[in-house]
Amino acid sequence: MALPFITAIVLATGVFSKDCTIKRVALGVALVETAIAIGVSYLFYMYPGTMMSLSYPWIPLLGISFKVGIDGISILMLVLTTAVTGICILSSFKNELQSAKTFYALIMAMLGGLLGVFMALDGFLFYVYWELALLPAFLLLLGWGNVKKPRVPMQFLVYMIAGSFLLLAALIYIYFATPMPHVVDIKAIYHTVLSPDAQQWIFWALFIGFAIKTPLFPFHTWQPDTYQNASPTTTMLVAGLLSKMGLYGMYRWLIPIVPLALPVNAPWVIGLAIIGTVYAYSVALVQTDIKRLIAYTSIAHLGLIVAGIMTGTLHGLQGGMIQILSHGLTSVGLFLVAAIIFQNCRTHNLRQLGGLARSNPFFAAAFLMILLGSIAFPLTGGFIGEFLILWSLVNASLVWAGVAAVTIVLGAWVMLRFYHGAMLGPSTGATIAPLSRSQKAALALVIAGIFFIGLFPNIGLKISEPAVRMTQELALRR
Amino acid sequence: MISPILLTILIPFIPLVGWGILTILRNRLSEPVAGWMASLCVIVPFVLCCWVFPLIQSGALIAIPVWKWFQVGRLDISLNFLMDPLSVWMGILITGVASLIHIYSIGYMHGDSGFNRFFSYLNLFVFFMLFLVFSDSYLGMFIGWEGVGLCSYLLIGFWYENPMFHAAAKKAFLMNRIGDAGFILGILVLLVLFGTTAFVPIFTYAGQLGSNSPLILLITGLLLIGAIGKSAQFPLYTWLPDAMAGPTPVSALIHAATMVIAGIYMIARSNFLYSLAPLTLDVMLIIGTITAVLGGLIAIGQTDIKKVLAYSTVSQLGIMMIALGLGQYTVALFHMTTHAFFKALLFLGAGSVIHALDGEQDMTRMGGLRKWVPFTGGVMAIGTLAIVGFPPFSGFFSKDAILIAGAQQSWILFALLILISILTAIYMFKLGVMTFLGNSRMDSAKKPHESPWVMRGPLGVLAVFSAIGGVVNLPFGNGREWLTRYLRPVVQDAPVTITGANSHSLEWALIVGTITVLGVLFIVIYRAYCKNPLTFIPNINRQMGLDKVYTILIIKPYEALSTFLSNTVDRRLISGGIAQLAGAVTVTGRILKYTQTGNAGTYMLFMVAGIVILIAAVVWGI
Repeated sequence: MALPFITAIVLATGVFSKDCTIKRVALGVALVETAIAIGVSYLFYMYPGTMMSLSYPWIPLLGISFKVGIDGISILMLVLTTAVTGICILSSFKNELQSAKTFYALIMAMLGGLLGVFMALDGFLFYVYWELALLPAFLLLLGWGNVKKPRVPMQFLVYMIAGSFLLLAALIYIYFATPMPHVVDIKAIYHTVLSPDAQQWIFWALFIGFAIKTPLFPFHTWQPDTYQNASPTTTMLVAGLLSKMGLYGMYRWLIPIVPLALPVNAPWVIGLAIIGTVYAYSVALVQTDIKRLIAYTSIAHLGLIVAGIMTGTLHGLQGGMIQILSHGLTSVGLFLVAAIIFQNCRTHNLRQLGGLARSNPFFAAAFLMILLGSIAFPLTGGFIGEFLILWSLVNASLVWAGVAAVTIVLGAWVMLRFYHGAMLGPSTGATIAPLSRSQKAALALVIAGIFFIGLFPNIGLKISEPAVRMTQELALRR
Repeated sequence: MISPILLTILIPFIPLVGWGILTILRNRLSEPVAGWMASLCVIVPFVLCCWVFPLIQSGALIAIPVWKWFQVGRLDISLNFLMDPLSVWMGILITGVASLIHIYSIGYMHGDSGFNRFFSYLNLFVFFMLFLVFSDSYLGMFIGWEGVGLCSYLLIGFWYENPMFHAAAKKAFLMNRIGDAGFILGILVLLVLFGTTAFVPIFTYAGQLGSNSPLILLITGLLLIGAIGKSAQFPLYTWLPDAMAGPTPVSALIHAATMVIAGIYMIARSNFLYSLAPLTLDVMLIIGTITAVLGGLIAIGQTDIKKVLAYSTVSQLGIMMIALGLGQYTVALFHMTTHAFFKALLFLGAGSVIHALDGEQDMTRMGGLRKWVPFTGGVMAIGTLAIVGFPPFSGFFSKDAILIAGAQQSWILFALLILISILTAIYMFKLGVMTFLGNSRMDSAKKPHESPWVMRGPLGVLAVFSAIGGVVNLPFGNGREWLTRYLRPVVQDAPVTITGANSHSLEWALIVGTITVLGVLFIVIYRAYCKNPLTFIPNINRQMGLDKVYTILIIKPYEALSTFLSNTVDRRLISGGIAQLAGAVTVTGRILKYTQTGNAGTYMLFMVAGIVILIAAVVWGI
């Protein structure tokens, strides 16, 4: 886990001077990490319910320890994180970048931060990693984004800091609520029973903190701007991975901590999430910038995941896990598609695109397959996730499930508008040149992942089920 | 002897293998190799289906586990195949018609640059269609259901360079998705109630829900939405005529003989549920009647040969829905079977005409074609006689079974069914007269050519079945209705009260009446259209304005709302509001002020300082 940080430092110091060496080193590290994560996940598959943890005292005075651990939920997040990082680096192989060493060092630092977020078992450690993951993201936005719009990274930062403040405030309160000597070890937090009133405000503080990160309507407006203006690789990383921090936070740091506030607030939050989903699809329908269109589609998907988590049912939580993996892959795939389109046509504007399928049928087919994952076509991961989430919603409330089902149509409408607008119809003269081998490989990996999850969802479900069950039991404490 | 279980598993997967080979090898295969290999991948399953057929006849079921899909808590979703009379009958029908259409396409698609792609999609379609009918659960059916929708989308937009064509593909996909949303909700409700989506346990325990109880109405209603989308019923039928943009064999296979009947199949499969919900059956009766009458009326106003047949399909699907609404599920399946034969024949015949005229589809520019394409003309005549229900062609028996069931319900329905039959006769006779009889109205002196034997062969086979297909369910006498008896273990009809002597006299009255009415109609239409077909084209709007209604009432307002949400709510209200909020907070405001410097170091400093201050605050707090 320390490997990405070390790599980041090594890369930043400029040991490797050639860009292609830097890229290869970064890719190699990501691959090693992926291999480790997959190896460990195999262990979890063979022996469900495994837990691993490490703990060292860090700031004993404050009861803060360096405590990390992996359970079924974490390991899936780690596999996703490492694999998606690898795919992102792979897809960027042919991109020309200014100061590649810093760029890849930051990616590595972000990877390290994310791994820490998904493994931390101490409240403050979690918070520190949370910030460690955000900082490189911010710098990536700032340094390699659209230089004409410096407002965008700042907007990102302000949102993130606002979210972090809420998170920190809640953590500090919980810290003082634990029995003496105060600790923010997750076990201690789980054992602490807060008063209903305290749970109520902590629920909202944590929820809004995570919702901003996710992002969830109506805290989402930083996201389309950010995605639109970031460099392709940054967008893919932020969309595929950073958005999962908030969702993971809900699994580990929200619903098990405030079991009394959950049933009170869940109906509201589910309603908000589903309205947000419909809202985001509606907005996506009229976007002309393809990156903004994907951004809003992404918000819609994430909203549905939040609704599933908030039902607090096994199906909702498990569906959420599958959908997290699937959304990670589809959003990376879609942004890669957008990046390839931009690389060839120099525009993100749907009105200036058209007829691209003819010049590169392979690309069109790949796009269509990723699209199927996005619209929850059966046999893709998206279907399993959405099916389980919808199921948990039918149990919770038939009306909300009905509204959520409408998004099946809306999602297809939005995505087909994108596909037809860019790939079919009258050509504007622009064409898609044959893809580079690294781009082909990245697309193929994304597609393989989407269908792998759809065909063999049991692997992921089996790995996460014991951990999800524990989360659910904690959330059902009365 | 090879285990039948093993072989039946193979049935749907052989076309999938065909698709895989065609996709991987793409254009490395020559046309005949690709075409015949794809055809073989459908013919072999057909043979296997026929082989399984007698094994099932005793009413036995074969359940075959295929794949443990996913598991959450106590719930275990597996995909299994179920070989029972209904699924095997459907399998024979699908693979049989699909085999003929595959062979036909070798001739029809000859020379098209996407020849191999076309066959790969067709094979994929057959896979999903077989998956749909062989699945033992609603969820498995849904996989096939969405899969055929995707193939339909790909094939409608096959010639994707044409903007009209891919717009039609998109429309078909989205309108189907509306149905799918209802279907999946219905499946979820079943899952919540029964803990499974498999047919056998659901049908066993469904009785406990009680007749016309809210839950059974909810389930049947939601499933019905799915069927309305897929089987092109009012008010979602408008995608089907547009779907004619696809190559003609696609129209024959997907949009006439197989995919569009999936909704009818699904309801027939769920007959145990629907028999518990008389209210839903009444709704289906109304929807079916509206669809059938509208489809028939609009078909009369068409001059494009494929559009006539498309609206005719809408109308015939409406008739099947009426049969379902009457609780006569096997009658609906019987009509579905004969319709598959004669409508595939008519479409392929129309394809042959279009092929002969190098792509001309407008009937006002045809006429007198019997001289040039006598074979096509002959088989089209058989198809026409079958669809209008001329005894003893197949359509007569299937349609009259519905007429009798309708007469039993009410005389209004009987009258409407007669009206629908008359409409059918009008548009079909008109099509025949305008295309094959009279004088030629073709543009140039070009010589239309008869199609090659790979196209004529399937036409001939389909013509034979259209003519004699009625024998599978002859209505005379008790116990001779072979198809009904075969399907009885899984499909149980509402009882028919008209029996014995009554039935016989009614049957004879129908035969005499039908021959007389059809004869008169033919003479009238021949007189009207033979000499000058342009004198009387009733000006019936293509969609009866339904598309316009959708555009004005749903699409435009929704897009306006979306624009409003995007520009006003999202940008001004939320984004702007939060910016204001942020501005009010001094710390944030100060950071914002420094943004103007554009210096990365400053931002980092603030962020790090923030963290340090916070940690310090904690330390100090102790």
